[in-house]
Amino acid sequence: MPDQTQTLTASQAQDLAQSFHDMAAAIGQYRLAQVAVLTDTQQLQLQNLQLQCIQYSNSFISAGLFAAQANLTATLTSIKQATTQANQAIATITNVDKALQIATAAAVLGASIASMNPSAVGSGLEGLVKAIAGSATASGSTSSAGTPSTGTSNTGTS
Amino acid sequence: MQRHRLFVREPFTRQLGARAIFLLTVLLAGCVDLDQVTALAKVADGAKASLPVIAADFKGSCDRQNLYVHLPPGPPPVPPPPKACVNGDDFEKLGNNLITEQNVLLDYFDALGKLASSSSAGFQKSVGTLSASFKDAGLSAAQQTMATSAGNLAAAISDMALQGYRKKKIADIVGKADKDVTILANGLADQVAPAAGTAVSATSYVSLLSNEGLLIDSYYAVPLAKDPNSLAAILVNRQWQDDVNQLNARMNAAQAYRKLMVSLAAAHWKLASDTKGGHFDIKTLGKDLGPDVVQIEEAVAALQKDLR
Repeated sequence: MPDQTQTLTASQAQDLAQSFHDMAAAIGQYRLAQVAVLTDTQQLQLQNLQLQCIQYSNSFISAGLFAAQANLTATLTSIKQATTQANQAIATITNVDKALQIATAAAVLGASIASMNPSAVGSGLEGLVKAIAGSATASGSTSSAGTPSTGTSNTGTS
Repeated sequence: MQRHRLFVREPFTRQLGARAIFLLTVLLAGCVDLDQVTALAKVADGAKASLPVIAADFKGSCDRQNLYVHLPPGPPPVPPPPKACVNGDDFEKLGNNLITEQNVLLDYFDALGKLASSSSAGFQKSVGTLSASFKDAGLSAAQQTMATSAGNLAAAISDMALQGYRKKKIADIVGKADKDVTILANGLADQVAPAAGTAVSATSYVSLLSNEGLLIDSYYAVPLAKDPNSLAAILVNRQWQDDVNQLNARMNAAQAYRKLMVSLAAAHWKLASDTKGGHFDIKTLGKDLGPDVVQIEEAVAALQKDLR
């Protein structure tokens, strides 16, 4: 398909950008070396050619960078997945922590009931209610994570 | 007469404490210092403030190049000279894409750092109130001491279990993501600056700066060659030098950014190598990662210095 436009690779774009840069540099050198000989008009004409070469070089730099960025698309997706995995693990740890707090509060309530002391029972109940309320808040903010019990069993595998 | 107390039973609470210390010692020996992962994430975060300046300069260089057009005396030429850079919008987009790509990498390191540093702090706080709670519940002094020790031990074990969970997860994530982290970090580095001393295989921000440098030289050198000894020439020479110094500072910042990205990839690779199979070795990890962390900190400092 000779008429079809083909996308440049990053490497091809670099070669072309460098070639036009080198041409612009050569024109610049000539303008400087012949400064006493060239008229203002000739200098302007050569400057225009030099600017056009730089313009092409910049266009190929842009094309090369777009090609490089396109090549990274799949990699970006994979790293986003790894980040999600890490965030889910953080949420699990938060839930495990909340589950442990509830268990602690329940232990205190159990001891207070055993003491047959009404005020201690009231205090123990209060602690349990607070721990559960805190857990509900936390689980609301980390809905993607598993349940607290799932998290606890995860910790046991280490 | 010396009294031998062999086989004399220790009080229960003291036994409990000793067992807890022993257990901690055994479990923590040979474990990873998760602080290394946290430190790596913190250093990676240092790049966040630096890149937007470079990324914005993709278009900045393009715009500056258009200023280096020397016009002859008299009325403006018809047609006007061509612009050196006509795709400023493309370069702006490329710069924004670069920031997006970098943020994907930095978000990953950030999540890794948070995972390494998250702890069961809330539970340990609850355990701290156990003593007072059991006292309120009417337990005897001995029972209260026992309960407190049991609570502290439970806290230590829970924390270790969570630490183990974190290490296992980090090992898993780091191992799987290493190839992509290497590709992305090197890809970011390549977009900003090529590796020194090797054949350039792709265009970069430095390519743009090279074109800018060429235009700066022509812009100043040709008129100065016509009139090298005047007072105006001295002033123009100073201006030329200022422009070259600014360009060099941008080149240095680009190289520092490359160094930072390459070091991040290397540090991640070492982390992945040390965590293969879920086994951490703090000595190896600390030894391998330490120089990279220092190198990254230096690169970030150099980048910030050059971008001022």
